[in-house]
Amino acid sequence: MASARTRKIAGDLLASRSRTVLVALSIAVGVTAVGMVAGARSLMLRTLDDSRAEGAFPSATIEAESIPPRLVAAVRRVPGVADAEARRVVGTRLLDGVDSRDLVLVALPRFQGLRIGRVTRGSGAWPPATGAMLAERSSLGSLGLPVGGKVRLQLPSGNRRTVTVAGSLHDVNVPSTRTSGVLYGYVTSETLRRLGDGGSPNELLLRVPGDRRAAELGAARVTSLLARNGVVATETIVPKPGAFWAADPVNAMVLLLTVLAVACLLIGVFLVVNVVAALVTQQTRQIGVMKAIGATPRATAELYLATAGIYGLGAIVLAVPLAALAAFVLVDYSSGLINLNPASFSLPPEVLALQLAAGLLLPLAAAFAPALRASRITVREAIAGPGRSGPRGIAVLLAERAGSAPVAVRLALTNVLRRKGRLLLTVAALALGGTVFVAVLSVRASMLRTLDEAATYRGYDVDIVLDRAYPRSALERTALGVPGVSRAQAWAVEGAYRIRPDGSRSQTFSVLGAPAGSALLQPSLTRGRELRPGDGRAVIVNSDVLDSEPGLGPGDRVRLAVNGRRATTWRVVGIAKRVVAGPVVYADESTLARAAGEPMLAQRLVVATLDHDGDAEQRAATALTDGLARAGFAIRSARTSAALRTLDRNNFGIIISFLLVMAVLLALVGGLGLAGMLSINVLERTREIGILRAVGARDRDVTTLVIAEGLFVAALGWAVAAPLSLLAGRALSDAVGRLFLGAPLSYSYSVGGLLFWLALALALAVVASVVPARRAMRLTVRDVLAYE
Amino acid sequence: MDERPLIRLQDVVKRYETPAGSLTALRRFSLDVGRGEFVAVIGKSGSGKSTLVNMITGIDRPSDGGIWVDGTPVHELSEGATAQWRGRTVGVVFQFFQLLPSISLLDNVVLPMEFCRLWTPRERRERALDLLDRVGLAGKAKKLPAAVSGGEQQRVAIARALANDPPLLVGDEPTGNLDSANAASVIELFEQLVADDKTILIVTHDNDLAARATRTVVVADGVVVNEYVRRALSKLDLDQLGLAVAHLRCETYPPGSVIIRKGDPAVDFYIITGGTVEILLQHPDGAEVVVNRLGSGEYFGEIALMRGGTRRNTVRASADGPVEVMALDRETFDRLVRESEPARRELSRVAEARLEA
Repeated sequence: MASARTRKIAGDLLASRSRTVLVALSIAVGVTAVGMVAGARSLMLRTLDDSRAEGAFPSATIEAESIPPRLVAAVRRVPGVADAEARRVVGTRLLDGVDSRDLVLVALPRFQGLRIGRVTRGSGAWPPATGAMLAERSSLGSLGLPVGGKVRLQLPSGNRRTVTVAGSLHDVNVPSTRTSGVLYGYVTSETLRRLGDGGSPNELLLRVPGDRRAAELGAARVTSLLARNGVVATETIVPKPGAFWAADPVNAMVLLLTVLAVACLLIGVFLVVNVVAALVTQQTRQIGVMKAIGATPRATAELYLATAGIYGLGAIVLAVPLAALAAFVLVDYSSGLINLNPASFSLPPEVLALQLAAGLLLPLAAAFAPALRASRITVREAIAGPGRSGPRGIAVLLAERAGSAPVAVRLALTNVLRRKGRLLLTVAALALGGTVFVAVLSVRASMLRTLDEAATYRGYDVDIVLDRAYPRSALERTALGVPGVSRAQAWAVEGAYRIRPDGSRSQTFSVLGAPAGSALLQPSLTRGRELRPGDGRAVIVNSDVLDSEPGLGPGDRVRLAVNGRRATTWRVVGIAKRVVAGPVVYADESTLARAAGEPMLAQRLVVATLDHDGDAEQRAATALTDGLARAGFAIRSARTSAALRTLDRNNFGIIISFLLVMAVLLALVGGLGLAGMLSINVLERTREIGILRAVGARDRDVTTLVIAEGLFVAALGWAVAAPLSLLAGRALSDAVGRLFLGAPLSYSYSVGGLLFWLALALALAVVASVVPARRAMRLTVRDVLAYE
Repeated sequence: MDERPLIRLQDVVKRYETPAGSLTALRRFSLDVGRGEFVAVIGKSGSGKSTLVNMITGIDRPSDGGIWVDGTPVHELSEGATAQWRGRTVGVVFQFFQLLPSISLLDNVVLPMEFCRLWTPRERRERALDLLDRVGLAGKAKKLPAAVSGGEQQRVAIARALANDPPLLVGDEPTGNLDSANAASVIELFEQLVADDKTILIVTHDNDLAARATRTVVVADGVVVNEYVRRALSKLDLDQLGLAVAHLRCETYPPGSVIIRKGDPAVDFYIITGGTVEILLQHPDGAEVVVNRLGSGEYFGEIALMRGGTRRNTVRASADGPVEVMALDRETFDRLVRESEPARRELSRVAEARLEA
């Protein structure tokens, strides 16, 4: 049987249904956000764990031109290396009418029983028959073909062959086609031979137990073994153990979600403080009566804490299932983007505990101060009444000095300033909502600006990677002979590893050799300067290099072994933002060629076209690949800048859409908070409204007064948010940039967002004031003057 | 039966600090209320009667002096202890009913029992229903306060005050917000409670209510007006009584001492508050004869003040014991006589009767 006290609490909550719903909703949004972040994070971690188990991620990957199969067994016996698998990976061009796209063809030694770099069966024949390929499942849709359809491939040799798409598989080790723009197909070694490429494996996947240093050491030993057998490793990739290639963007999203969750929770907490404080004020007489009939201070405080607890419980009931659903949808969507299978849904107890803590403990904590105040009200104060307190301090100043402003305006200002604690909390909630709202939109603006700047990185329109190094001059001459091409540069691409001061070896980085100061390549620098002619052995490293070589900066000297040759000392002159994924080092072409012992050879050809629209670039790319193939050059891939820009925009677009959803949610929560607080203000002024009407105020006059208060509060909150959002936007942009791109974004403050927030806040203030004001005005003057 | 007073106030002083300075609401206030009494406290606004009630209920604390209710030193209790003590010992009835608006009439009556953790939940409800039945509102137990009339709400408030079966009921203007019919029913209820051995102390402006009390305490200017003074100046209204009290001086005379002498100028008016005085008449042979004896609640010295001239008789304290009088200066006496027609008539009548005698 519920006690009278319980029924009092229930009665109070039901007496102000809209306010109860507002408060519960505000908390619910915050708890949902917390649950969604925590739940999504937990689910994503399990997804990654499952994927790791599914895909058997390699500890290190070594690429070389050709690895004799006999060496693979020897690699397995290298100390520290637990296992190794070899495969051949060939870059082909998928011919699609006049267009062509990159398709990476992977020839697996076997489809079942791979120990490293596992693939999982999808649909169709397993393994595929000779002459057929299985498309990676994220590529299948992009191919636009049914199972059984045929694709035409141009191999590096220039040969064109038709392959049947026999089904699909899932390879968690490769990025999804949606995010990378690259198609993946899997064939047997026999099929690849039939297509005209009978070469040996060119990729070694290693499993090295231990940490990253152990993996680097193992990889170093393997590359030494290969070198002793005349095989030069062109690239060595040693990821962070257990790290997933998409971990950084996922972490960026988690960071943004966490910011959202904290902001929403805080706004909800501010609202609880204000609501419970208002309740205590409204019920001061009741508190006095309860104490007169035996309620102790503790019992009084418990009543109001219980009220806050019920707000929290209501929020939790709503938020827990909503958060679980949102987490699942988010992980499901994200997993699809990054080509993972989402783990089975579950609600970890720690996530539930976090939501319970956020939904229950925070409102209780918020209600503590007002409940304490309630417990301390004496019966005499409560029943005799201290009298309505008049305005003090700044409120008096305003009242006296507002000069010729209408009485209504002066009244509105003094009313607002009369309750400083509530005003502070309301303004804080609005400012918080506004700050994060504008900061989120600023992150969006910064991402777009960074994208635009990244476009300037590529001064070229078509980027062609050759299957091996060719004489630079021959490449450039052939390219310049293709219609539509205005400039062409052939760049060397070498592999180099760093010998660290402690003697350990880093992974092998790609070193790009372009003419110093080339207009076709302009890395966006975060520190230092660009390469200049005459610099000699100088390099610029991108931010991904700093992942494994932290602390490097302009002025530092590093020892690099280029192309497996003796290490020489180079000077770091600049740090560049990551534009191309993965660690890249930039050096002058002739200096690099000398260091590599491969003068005048290049493996990459970049071309500027006469016209720069997407179609012109694509036509030029097709013509170039045809022309180069006819001239006997083996092409691995060919990409237009337009396509890369589109890909970047799509990838950024996911985060940007996400940011916009966040902004909307914040606006919603901020609006709920503002509505709740303004409605309290109006409710407390019911008696005053009655008095105004008793002395002749029309409905319009009262509405104007109430709206003026709401607008003042909204404007004040906006004014506080404006400078804060400038700082918060930069901090958030930097954090997202570092996570997403390895370097801060180029900051762009969203003035439009700031103005939009102002308009939104003012509009919400009007609505939030008018609705309760109209309700108060419907009471008769007699009723209102008897209102207590 | 316990002969100790249920309420004892001893030299209670209450001062308030206000922006305008220190305000003394009660000045060395002393009062005893016996068990089973029905006491009406009257006085003009600002006289200190609400402060008196707040002292007794523990709502406020004295600046000086002590308050005991049912043996408990209320002035020494902490805030929390006071709440619990009050819940069990004092049933408070307010002028504006002060029922909690969001719970039913029944729950309003149950609430004090819950706060004081008395009886089981089932017993509380049964008891509350009984109390509501006693005040004639059992049929409306589930209704909210806003659904019943003011008079009904006040009856529920009385039921709530009785919830924990306290020995004392205190009301501050309990009929102040009721029409005459409802006020009458509330007064009747109080009388029934007194018959049931409850002690009731009511602050009131309601003359009907005051008339039904077994005892009336008049508060004026922060003090209890001495009962004998009140009796002697019964024709003065509260304002005039307050003026008189503000100017009264307490004087004590040893047995046999002369208070006023024949032929002296008339300076003061005297009210006897303790002991007996003898009115002396001088015989032609010079002997003094006692022509009258006056006791507590009676007055003397009015004849010369009203008719002019010097004292016509000597008045002395009897040999039985000391005499305590409250003396009022001439100026104040003249003013009161001038302003109060009933008082002037009464004084004239008594003076006339004494002269004829």
